[in-house]
Amino acid sequence: MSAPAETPPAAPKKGTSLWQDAWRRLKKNHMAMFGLVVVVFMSALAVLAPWLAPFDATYGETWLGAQPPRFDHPDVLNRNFLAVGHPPTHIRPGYEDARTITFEVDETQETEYRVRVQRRRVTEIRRVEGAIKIDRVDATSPGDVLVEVREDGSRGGPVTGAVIETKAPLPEAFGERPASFVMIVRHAQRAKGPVLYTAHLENGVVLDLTRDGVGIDRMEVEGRSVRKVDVDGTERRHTHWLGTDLSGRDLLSRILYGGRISLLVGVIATIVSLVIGVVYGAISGYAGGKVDDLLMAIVDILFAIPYMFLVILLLVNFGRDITILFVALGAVQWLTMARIVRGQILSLKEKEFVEAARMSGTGPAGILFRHLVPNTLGVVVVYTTLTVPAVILQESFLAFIGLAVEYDGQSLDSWGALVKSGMDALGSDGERSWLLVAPSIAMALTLFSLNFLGDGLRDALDPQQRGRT
Amino acid sequence: MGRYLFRRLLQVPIVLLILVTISFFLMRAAPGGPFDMDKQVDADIKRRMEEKYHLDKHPVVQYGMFLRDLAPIHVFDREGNVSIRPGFDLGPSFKNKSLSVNEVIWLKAPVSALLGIAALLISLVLGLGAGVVAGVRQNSVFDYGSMAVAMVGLAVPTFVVGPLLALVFGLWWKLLPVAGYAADGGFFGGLMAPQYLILPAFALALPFAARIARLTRAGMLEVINQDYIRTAWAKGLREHVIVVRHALRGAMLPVVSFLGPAVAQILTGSLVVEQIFAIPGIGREFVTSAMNRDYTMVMGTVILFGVLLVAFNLIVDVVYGLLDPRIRYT
Repeated sequence: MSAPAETPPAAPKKGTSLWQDAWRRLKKNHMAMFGLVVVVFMSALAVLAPWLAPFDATYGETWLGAQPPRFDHPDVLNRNFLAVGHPPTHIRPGYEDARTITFEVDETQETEYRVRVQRRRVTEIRRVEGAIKIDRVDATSPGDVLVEVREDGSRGGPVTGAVIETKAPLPEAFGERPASFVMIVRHAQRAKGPVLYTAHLENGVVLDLTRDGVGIDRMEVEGRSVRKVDVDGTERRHTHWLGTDLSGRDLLSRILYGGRISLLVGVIATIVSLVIGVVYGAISGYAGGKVDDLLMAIVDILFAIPYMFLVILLLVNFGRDITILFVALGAVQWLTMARIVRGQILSLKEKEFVEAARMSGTGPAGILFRHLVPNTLGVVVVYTTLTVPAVILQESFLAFIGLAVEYDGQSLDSWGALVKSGMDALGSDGERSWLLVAPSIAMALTLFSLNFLGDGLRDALDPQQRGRT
Repeated sequence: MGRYLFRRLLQVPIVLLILVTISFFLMRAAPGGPFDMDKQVDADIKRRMEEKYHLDKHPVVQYGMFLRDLAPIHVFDREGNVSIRPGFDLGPSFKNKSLSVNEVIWLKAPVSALLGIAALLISLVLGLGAGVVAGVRQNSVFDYGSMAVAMVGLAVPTFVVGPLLALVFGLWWKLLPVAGYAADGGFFGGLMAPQYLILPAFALALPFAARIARLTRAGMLEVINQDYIRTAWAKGLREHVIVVRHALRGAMLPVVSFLGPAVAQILTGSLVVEQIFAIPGIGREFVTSAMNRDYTMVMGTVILFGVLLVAFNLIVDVVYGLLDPRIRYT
């Protein structure tokens, strides 16, 4: 670190420095090395998220909804609209420059029926449009769906493979019902084969449009009914490796960006705590005596305060801006650092090299920050690696209880926030479990690795501490 | 010991005062108040409401009034006449107008207490059991297995474990309710309907069980090779007597010193567990009242948590001294 000026020329036998020694010991610790690899990997992912993330983390096609991992779909918008003679404004960005776009669309035809039930039997079925009376509504062919449209605008769960017939009871799939009532049922029928739309574009304007070979003026296709989209002869599909959330956002991208926020908060708040803790602890340890007693009594008292409550109050009352969070969490964590550094300084300041520095005319500040503090680096490094996961945990805890950090009024979804929204979106049978499981694994793995790395570093840098948890 | 205890006891009011002061001014310093939310309230009504709850006065005056009401015993009434009545008055709840803060705390604290006690018991039973067996049978399959589980338990936070438990046992297997609490509430009501408590208590207990298991194992390993254990073997005592009566006592020390922070973390952990499992406890009350700017309710819960934390740390320190006669406090 700070070698005296009169160091003899390099000794013939090469010694191992503290750090080489520690690195050798660390390499033997498999769990710690695993932790190191994962931490480096996760940090790389977090830093490179903007380049790695396949999709925008904050925007999704709502027509997708929550889809399970490895879901793939044609790359189209919610509503795709083209009109002859107009520029293609309502089309997936990036398709404007194409010459030919074809959409293969499953068109559905929707018919509404008024169904009257009397004494548990269907007595009358009428088409709402035109009030034409019919005998049966057959929804058994594949792709056919019956949906009840209630008066308040809500829909009953989709029923498939059912037949509503006069003189027969209502299919059981419609659930428990009064003996006599009237309901509106919407029958969605898929056309026999897919319909093919082809558009030719030139100079940024739609030249012509055809539907199954017949020329048309305008085309309007819903995203969910598109089966396939070809742009200049290449099919455009997207795969969501970890699925999508309720608003169609790609979960993998969200986890990558979430990690960025979690790790950022962890690192910066740790640096804040590092600066406060080291300076405070160093001064306390170096000053000794009454000053030390007083400073440490303050730390003791602050230690007993349940900070999480104060941090929650702070965030609730002063907004959840990310800078407030950095300071708040950093200010919570510095106490242990101060104690550790103080203890180190107390023992180090009796060493000869301090005496030597003093003899050569170095002032107290110089001795403290040029000679003593660098020598506490080992312990500081160990404690820093253990503080990062603690801070990540706290930030996620806050995000989980609804205090997700914000920047410029935009909420930043860290892993904690993702876990929270995953939990809220599970569904009544846990059918959307990937939304909870994927971010949970990302977070748990990272915390796990950071803890292992920290423990391993402690063992490597300070073998006497070994085994004390 | 006496001097040490005295110093620690002296610390208690200072800690609580700092906590109360910071929370009090944090709540008041922010713009807005409990009565300007949702719908527009008539200015006159708002003014009268604020007058009723003394919100029109300067925060420092409010602080003084708050501390006065908080005193353990009131000797004088507001006019200065002598009239003794019990103190610890936290005032009315701003949002829940029919109840005082004390009443809300009496209503909700037992629920949290039950959850916390259940979690503590689970973590002690699991942690000590696994730790002792792992320590006695070092390097066995059980040792490696339980320690691997403990590592996972330590690294995975409660708010991940909780939803995952709810997902598997509540939503997939439908064995236990996902959320909620016994209909009639309270401590005994919850005891009568334990199915609501199992998942939250386990979620809360897991990290502590893991920590206790690791500490116990390390303690057992340290103790098991010492002379007095060899003596016990030589006397011909049976294994379970040696393990439980001799070794465990020595091995328990780090566990006991962990219990102080553990209780603290169980208390904070209850914030999130009560949130996950919709348990009407004091932790959830704190979060909702903080969001609602219910000043008095926030202060009440903060004080309750603060007192509990400080008290438990103190108790643990004292117990630690009793368990290990080598420790002398000065």
